[in-house]
Amino acid sequence: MPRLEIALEEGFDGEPVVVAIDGEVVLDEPAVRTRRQIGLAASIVVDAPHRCRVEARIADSGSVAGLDVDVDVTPHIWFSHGPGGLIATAGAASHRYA
Amino acid sequence: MSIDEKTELTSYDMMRLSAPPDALDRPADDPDEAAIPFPFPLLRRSGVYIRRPFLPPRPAADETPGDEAAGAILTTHEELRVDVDGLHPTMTVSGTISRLFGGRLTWIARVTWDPARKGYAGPISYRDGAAALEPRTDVFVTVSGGWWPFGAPRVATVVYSGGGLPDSRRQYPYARSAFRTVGIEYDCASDATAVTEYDLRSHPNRPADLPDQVLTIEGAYSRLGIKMAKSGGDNIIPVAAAGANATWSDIEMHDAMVTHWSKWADVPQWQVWTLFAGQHDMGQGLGGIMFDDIGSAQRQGCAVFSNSFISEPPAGDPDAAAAVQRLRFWTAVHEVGHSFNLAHSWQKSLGTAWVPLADEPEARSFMNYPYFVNGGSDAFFADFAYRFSDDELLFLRHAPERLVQQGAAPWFDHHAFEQVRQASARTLTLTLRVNRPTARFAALEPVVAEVKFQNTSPVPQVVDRNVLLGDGLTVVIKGDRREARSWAPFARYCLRPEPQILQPGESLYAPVFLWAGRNGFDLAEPGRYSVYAALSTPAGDVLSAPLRLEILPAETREVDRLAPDVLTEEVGRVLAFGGSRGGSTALDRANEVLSEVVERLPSSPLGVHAAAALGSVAAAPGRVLVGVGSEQRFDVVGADPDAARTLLATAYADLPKAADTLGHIRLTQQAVVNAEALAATGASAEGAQIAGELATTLRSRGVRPAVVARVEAVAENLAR
Repeated sequence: MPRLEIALEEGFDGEPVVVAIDGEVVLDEPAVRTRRQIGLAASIVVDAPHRCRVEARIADSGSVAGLDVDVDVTPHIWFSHGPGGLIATAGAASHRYA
Repeated sequence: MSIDEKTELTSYDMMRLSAPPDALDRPADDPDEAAIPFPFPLLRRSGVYIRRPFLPPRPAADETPGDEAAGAILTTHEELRVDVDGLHPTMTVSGTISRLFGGRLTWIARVTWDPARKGYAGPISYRDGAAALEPRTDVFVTVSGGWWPFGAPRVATVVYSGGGLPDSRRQYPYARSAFRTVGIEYDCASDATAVTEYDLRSHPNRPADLPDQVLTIEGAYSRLGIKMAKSGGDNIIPVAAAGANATWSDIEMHDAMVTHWSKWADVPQWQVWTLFAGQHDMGQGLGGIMFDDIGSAQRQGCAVFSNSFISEPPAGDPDAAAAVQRLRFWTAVHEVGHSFNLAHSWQKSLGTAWVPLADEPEARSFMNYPYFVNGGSDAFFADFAYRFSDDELLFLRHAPERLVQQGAAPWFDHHAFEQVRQASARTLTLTLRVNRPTARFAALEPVVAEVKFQNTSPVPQVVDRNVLLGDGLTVVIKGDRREARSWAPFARYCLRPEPQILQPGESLYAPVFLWAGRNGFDLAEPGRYSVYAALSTPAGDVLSAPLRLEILPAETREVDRLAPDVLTEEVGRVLAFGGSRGGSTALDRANEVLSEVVERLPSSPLGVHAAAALGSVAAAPGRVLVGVGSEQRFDVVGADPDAARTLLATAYADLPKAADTLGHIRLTQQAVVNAEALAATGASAEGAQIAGELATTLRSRGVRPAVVARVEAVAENLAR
């Protein structure tokens, strides 16, 4: 199976976040907090179907964001949390942090 | 032009530094106050100006008498930061006013050149701290002088106006060109490459006007007014410090910082440590990190990882080696920027900004990721002048120090206090001291110090006899790594001033019961403390040198067990006032605790205080308020001579020890009163003995002969 990188990036300040691939939970963190000096809160690399739906949910606010992903083309997906809720983007190249 | 320190200025920078921003806009015949005719260039105005804390008794002729008249000048330190020309000026004037025991204020004004008045004017738009230190709303700033070696020294004059107050005009002598001064050290892991400099013209993709210069990390900051210099370092750190996996975790980097950084201290300081390491536990995707969000004094360390994406040559780049060097250099300056509390360019609106900020996703700043802008890294570096954004420069140069400084400083600035104290007049000197060989106190021992106010001038000085007893005396207690606290005694005395002439060398004295007060027990915890005293007088404030003292940990479990009962407000009050007859549940309970202390720890310092307090009450008759409401009345309580003799025998069994812990003044006052009280109940012999032994003890300890003589007179009188 191809590998999918999932990153929780900007705007998290202690929220409980659950990430699922096709409904199967792959990340369940009770308090996600962005380290602002690198703009990253958490990241995982998991096996994923070639095509799948990746969703992140903030448990207490109910904010949800998701994308249908072709992992062979865009093996990187990032979630950020803004005033309007969760935002999901996907890309071919991994993000770089400094 | 005045050049006072090396800031890695190139000829390019010098040219840009020489002219104020609007020089080309002024009419040819417009006399500029700072302009000197050919052949001298225009004077640079930007820099730091400091208003000296010690001034002549009267303000300068064109200054406004204000704080000086109130005697506050000796305790006020003012720093003015003028940022109107030079490299990337922000057109800002800011100031920090620090007043001893009166707080600190940082204010910021965005200014513009006023051609009519030939100066910089603007409203104060930001304040942080004690706003009352400068309540006016506008500033007008002019700079004059500075043409070394000719003419007058450079001085900034500021007129503060508005706020419904009379204008205040103050002068600030020039101090230095840099807004901040920071030390930096670089250490390198054995598997990493350190990159601390970059040739600005080495890559073809660059702004055409980029100077022909090798820019160092220190230079990148210094040229922008943040003077940075190496303080040591260049250690090679074994990669084994990264653990078995040879990649670094934040904790491992923090440990390396503590181990290898010569400036390591868990305190705020203008110092930063940079580690050039191989790779972080996160892997190739992390090029660098300000890892130090650990512990109390944060933002002191950062790291750059050579074995990460920053070392990957960009595909198709015309000069891959230069591109790698450039990105490594950018990463290092970027991470150091985080140590100054700078956020990423696209994060400015997040969190709690110091002022409202807008995100700058397209900023050509060290704090933006080059690959995040439209057009990516190529677009970024084509237009990057190796600088920070204007908002970031405003923060670095003008934000309150506590927001910028690595480690984040507490409110009490020891350094500023020492500057003011050393600059204060020597006519009258204040000393805070203890009457014992060392300033070490046992656990639960009440801390009693003595204030001495001496005429150290060669001429007689008129002072208020009661000056040490009123609210003009301020004492601050600061534990190491603790916040400073102002000592608040249980009582302040409002006394009519009584003029007294202090001859040269003569002094006034008063005890201070530092151990307890309305703020609680500021000296209860084991550790080291600095205690400062300041006295406000009509002639000005007088400051003491700090008294360093140490509270020892409890030596026995019994002392530990007593602590919760002893460290109560009521016990503190009873001991502060030297005893209480009770009459309320709380005070009765306090006396019970003190009785228990006398029983369990009679020879301890606390036992001496307890026995003296209980014995003083027993020795003489007194009154107790009893009843409630309209039934309240004063009942007379007789003396208990037997109890008094026993308790005072305990308290004064070892008079030198009693003097150590009670202090000379409190011991003398208490013991003389007790001796006379015992005599009044028929125990004259015991009273005379106490007084006589007290006189002997005081003489042996070098107490003033006049005091010893008075005690001897009491002893002789009681012995008749």
